[in-house]
Amino acid sequence: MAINQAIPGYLIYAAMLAHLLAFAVLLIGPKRVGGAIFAVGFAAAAAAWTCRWIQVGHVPLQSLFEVFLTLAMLVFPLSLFCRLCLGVKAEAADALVGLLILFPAAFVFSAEPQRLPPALRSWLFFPHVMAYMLAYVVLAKAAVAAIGGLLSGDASCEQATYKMVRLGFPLLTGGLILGAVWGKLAWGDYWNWDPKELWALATWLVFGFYLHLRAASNGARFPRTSCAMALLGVVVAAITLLWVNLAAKLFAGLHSYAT
Amino acid sequence: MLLRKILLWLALPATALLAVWSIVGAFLGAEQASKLFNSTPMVCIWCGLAVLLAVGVVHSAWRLRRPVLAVMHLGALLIIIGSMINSCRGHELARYFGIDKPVRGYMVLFRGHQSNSLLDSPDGKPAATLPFGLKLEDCRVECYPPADPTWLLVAEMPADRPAGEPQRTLLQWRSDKPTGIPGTSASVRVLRYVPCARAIYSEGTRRVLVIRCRGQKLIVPAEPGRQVMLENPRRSLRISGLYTRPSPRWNESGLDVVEDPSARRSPAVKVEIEEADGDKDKTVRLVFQDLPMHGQADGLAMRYVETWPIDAVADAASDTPAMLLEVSFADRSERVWLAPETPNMPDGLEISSLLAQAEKKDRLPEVTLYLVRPTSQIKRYQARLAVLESGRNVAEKLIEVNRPLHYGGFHVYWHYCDPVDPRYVMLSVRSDSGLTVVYAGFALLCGGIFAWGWAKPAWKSLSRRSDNGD
Ligand code: HEM
Repeated sequence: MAINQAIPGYLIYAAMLAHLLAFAVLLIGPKRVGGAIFAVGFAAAAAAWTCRWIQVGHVPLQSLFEVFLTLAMLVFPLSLFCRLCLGVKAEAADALVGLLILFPAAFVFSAEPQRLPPALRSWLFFPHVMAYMLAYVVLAKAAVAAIGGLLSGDASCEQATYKMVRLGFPLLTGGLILGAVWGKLAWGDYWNWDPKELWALATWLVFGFYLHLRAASNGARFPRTSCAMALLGVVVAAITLLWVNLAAKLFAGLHSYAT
Repeated sequence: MLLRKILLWLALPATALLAVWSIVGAFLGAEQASKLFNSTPMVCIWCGLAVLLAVGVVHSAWRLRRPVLAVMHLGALLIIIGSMINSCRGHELARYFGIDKPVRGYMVLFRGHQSNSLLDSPDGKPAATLPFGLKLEDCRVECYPPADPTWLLVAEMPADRPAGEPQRTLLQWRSDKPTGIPGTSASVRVLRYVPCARAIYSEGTRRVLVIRCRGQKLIVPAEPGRQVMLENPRRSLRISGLYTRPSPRWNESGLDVVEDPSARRSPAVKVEIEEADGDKDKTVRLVFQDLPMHGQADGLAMRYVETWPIDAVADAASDTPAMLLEVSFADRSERVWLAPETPNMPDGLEISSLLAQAEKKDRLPEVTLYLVRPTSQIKRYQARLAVLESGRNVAEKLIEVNRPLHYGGFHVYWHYCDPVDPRYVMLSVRSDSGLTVVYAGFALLCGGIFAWGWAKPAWKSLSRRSDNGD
């Protein structure tokens, strides 16, 4: 099906506008209205994502543009889930996170459509990348809570951080293991020691450290330390996602085509 | 509960150390990182970690009564053990117990050939053998249709050094204005582009040999093997070779011509002339396109003429285009059709011969214009392999990236093949020792961690604990 190349772009601008408005209204206006605008922003992002899928003919999870669009689309549903099921309320911050994620999709990364190279043509492509996408959005929420905890030393922020890590850590683990299984199928080894893998492992280990530290010290007793560790994990996760892709030329790892 | 504290406080430096080494490894690059993590000190650390995990598994299962914790830590333990079995050192160790199995290797197979010999690296030496043979039945490359099927217009200039590569420039022709041809003051404008076209040549072919003999005029397609009979005197002419950069040499048996890439471009045709009745030796003549008078002798005049298509018509059955160009130089301009003769084979239009046909070649560099098929991205590589046990075909699989062959304790992967000419395939082979253990570890680790993080009771207990002010 032919869709005008420019349409996802306009939808992304619309989504950005809605996220900005939602953030402002959630901060100072009626929560219900803000939530509704947030939902509109999600609808625009989801529409852009769907258009993109149709345009490129495969799940749009390949280029950084597509990855960020996907991340942005997941913010609202995860925000809703965490609020309703886990009692972690941070709607305004979530809208802001969505806006920040949309920005590089709109203005930084190339939206040049790409074909899937043979290595990416696998049933593991979607679950592996999607597990990471979900994990990253949850970790972004963890980072927001952790910053809150770090500044206030508040135990409830520490609790929220832990809940988010508890939700996100299994996703990280799943993403890592699916990646290993896929590596085995595509390259012959489930572990190649390439920089992207090592950063992903480091991310996982930092959160492992965080969990053990929290278990050892009963978390709530040292909320600032606990939050700082979680935040470190998110920083390493961000490096895994971004820096390795952008510095692919420096490292020439197997993952370098995924720019 | 003291053991729990000790284990937890030991797990902290263990995870921290591994995290720091991972980041160091990420800076070192894959090859160095692999060496680092397989070095002897690291082997000790891995063993220590395995012991810690084992104690942790036993402790959390029997003392803490938290099976979920036991399962996830057992998963981590199995991954480490499986990886040890799968490693080079693991295979060395297995050799002491009489299990001699190569860890990895590469194999080059030509279509229709078979082998069981493994190279130590893609361009290395034979280092091991497989307990079975592999035969490459077939291999093929599948491409995506190009995003933009319009062919590219390329200008090629000869190399400035004798052994250099010719310089090619892509001409941006999709505007009404003429485009300059690099390195010249000539320009080109595309008047028409027919995507699926059949080119029409005046003489039915592109290069022709024009033969004049006592009022007789014959036009023969310049193709090797073409033969014509001439009357008066009766003799036969046979075209025996076509050259772009001929290098003629005389030897005892007469004129010998070879194509010499370093020679000047000067298209020519080799003609063998044989008297029908005489017992004279046959004579061989080289007729140059650039030297119209060269082919005259014995009342026989030959000219080697390059013709371009005179027209092109749309033809749905064709997958090649045609382009009507207007080439301008100084005060002259010519219109000419350009069409590729065969897919992927550049079929050039030499602008100097186009524009300087009538006159002496003035200072117009040798630039050739040709159409190039847009490159299309590769979708998949496939290789059909047969497994041979004592000459018998025991298994067969169509492998591709992400679909290896698993047989006899080895995985066989597609590794490389020439995308343009897939006559041979490079396979990579991996021993599967320990893999089941690793995969069991993956399943337990993943299952355990999801059960710990996501299972409903976990959340319930968490909210109960936070209600109690935990
Ligand atoms: C390196 C991979 C490891 C991972 C991913 C991991 C993961 C975890 C997780 C998620 C928990 C649950 C924490 C909680 O209940 O809040 C945990 C707890 C625990 N881990 Fe590990 N662990 C690892 C290594 C180890 C090692 C090497 C040991 C052994 C010294 C260990 C000992 C323990 C113990 C004793 C607990 C119980 C914590 C509690 O009772 O709350 N872990 N681990």
